[in-house]
Formats: sequence, C-alpha cells, structure tokens
Amino acid sequence: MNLNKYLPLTETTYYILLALMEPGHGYYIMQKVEELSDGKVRIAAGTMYGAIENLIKQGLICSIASPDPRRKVYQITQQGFEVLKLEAARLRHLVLLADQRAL
Amino acid sequence: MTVFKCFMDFKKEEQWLLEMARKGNRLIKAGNGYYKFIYDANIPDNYSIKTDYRTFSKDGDYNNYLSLFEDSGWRHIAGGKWAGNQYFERVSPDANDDIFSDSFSSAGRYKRYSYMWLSIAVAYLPLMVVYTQNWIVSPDKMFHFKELYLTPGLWDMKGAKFLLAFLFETPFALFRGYSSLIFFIIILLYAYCAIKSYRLYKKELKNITHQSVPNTKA
Repeated sequence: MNLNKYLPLTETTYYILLALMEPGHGYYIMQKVEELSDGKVRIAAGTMYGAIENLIKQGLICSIASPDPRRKVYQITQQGFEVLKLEAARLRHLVLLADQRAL
Repeated sequence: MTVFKCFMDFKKEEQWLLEMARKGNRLIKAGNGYYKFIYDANIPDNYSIKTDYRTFSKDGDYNNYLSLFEDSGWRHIAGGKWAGNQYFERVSPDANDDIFSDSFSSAGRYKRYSYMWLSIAVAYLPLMVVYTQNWIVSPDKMFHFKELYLTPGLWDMKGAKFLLAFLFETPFALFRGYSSLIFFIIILLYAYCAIKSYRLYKKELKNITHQSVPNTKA
C-alpha cells in the first residue's frame, strides 16, 4: 500500500500521532500535544473527537484495551508509525534545504 | 421556564443561548424545538455554552465522548445518545473558549445534521411509493373530487342529510385523495433542511475566523 497518500500530514495530525506513540486516552492526547507544541497547539474537545475518529478510519491509530470503561485508550498503529516516519523524512529534507540556505 | 424555538444554524443557536445566559437564564434541558431554563443570578461573565451534533449507537462510545469533554472542562447539559444535539457549558477557567478549534470540525456538525435530514427524506420515498400503489390513495383521485367519497348515493342526498353525510366523510375522503401529497411535501421539506444544512457546512468550512489551531484534517 502506498502510504504517501497520507502525506503531507497537517501539523495537528503530526502532533497527535507523535503523542500516541505512547498509549493514552483522548484528554491525554490534548495535554500531550499542548506540551509538545509549547502551548501553541491547543486542540478542543469536539475537534479532538473528530480527529480521533478520522485517524481510526484511516488506520493510523487504533483503540486498545482500557482499564477505564468510560475512557477509550488509543495508540498509533504500525501503519501510522510508518506514515510518521515518512513525514519526518519529508520534513528533514525541507529543513536541510533551509539550513543549506542559512534560513 | 420553557421556550419553544427552532434553529437550523448551530452558531445562531449558541449565540441565542449565550444571550439567554447573560439575562440569567441557565439551560438545563433541551429537546426538539424546546429549551428549559432555570433562573441563576450568578452566571459568571466568561460563561460559554456550545453545541455539537453527533449520534451514537453504543453506550461505550457515548460515555467516551462525554468523558473527553468532561476532562477538558466542559459539562454536558443536555443531549442523548440518539438525540444528536449535545449541549455543553464551560466549567473550567482554563478550558478553550470553544469546543472546536478548527473550522473543519466546526463544519462537520452541519454535515452530520444534513445527512440526518437526507436519510429521513430518503426513508419516506419507499413509503410514498407503497402508498401510491395502494388503490385507496392514488394520486389521480385528487382530480376527481366526487370519487373520493365512497358513501353510496351521497350525491343524490338532499338538504341536512347530505350535509351530515358529506361532513362526516370529508376527513376520510381528504386522506384518501391527498395523503400521497403529504408524503411528497414531507420529503420536500426534509430535503430542503438537508440542503440548507449542507450549505451551512460549506460556508463554515471556509470560515477562517474559526481557526485557532491548524486544521486536523490529515
């Protein structure tokens, strides 16, 4: 399967996938993304729920067993991880071009 | 107090609910076309009330959804698993100003709402077809008014006897002749709601003022 169809990832999706390299529930993702982005990306609840649904549909994250019946726990899938690696490589290339030009 | 009001636009609804809150009316229950408020003099200045549209088939999914809002500082005021309209009020001071941080998700609720109307309109189509196949409610009878009345000898009766028989049968006759029209009108009405909601969806997608973080759509 060609994973390039998922690229480029939006900034918010990139953050969400990064956060889910460790399993966590919805609110954990919101907090982790805010932390990773130094407070710049604050995803709201309604947006978060929709994003989770989309990512599950695309097979980039999945729901795993949760100790709390009221909160589902999510984690990045192997496919999601591959997409994340491809995106990181794409970004590294862009950064390299910037560095070469002292931007 | 209970207020009866209908909204097609979620943003207008949110605005109205906020205005009500400014006057001291706190929403405690909401349903199809009605809102219940209680008077609360101590509603804070930074009070925020927002609405989402989403339906759920499993209890687990619904609880998961509600917990996410609860965790992020939004209390669920009204709404059910099947009802669709979910109302939230902000209870935590450091929660976001809104339950949506990008236009894509804010627009998503109009799309879901639109699909709901569309699915009902489509569901009525086979019903309309079945009814028009049935000889009792065929559309061509609409043009032969007298034929709608099945009472034998009705049109030969005179005076008070005629009037009585005529009036008695009128509701049945109207049903016989025009119910297929009712289905048709219902379908048109629901299709109109679906189209209007879809237009609002498209409009909200382009709304850049509703974008505090980059879009979540991958």
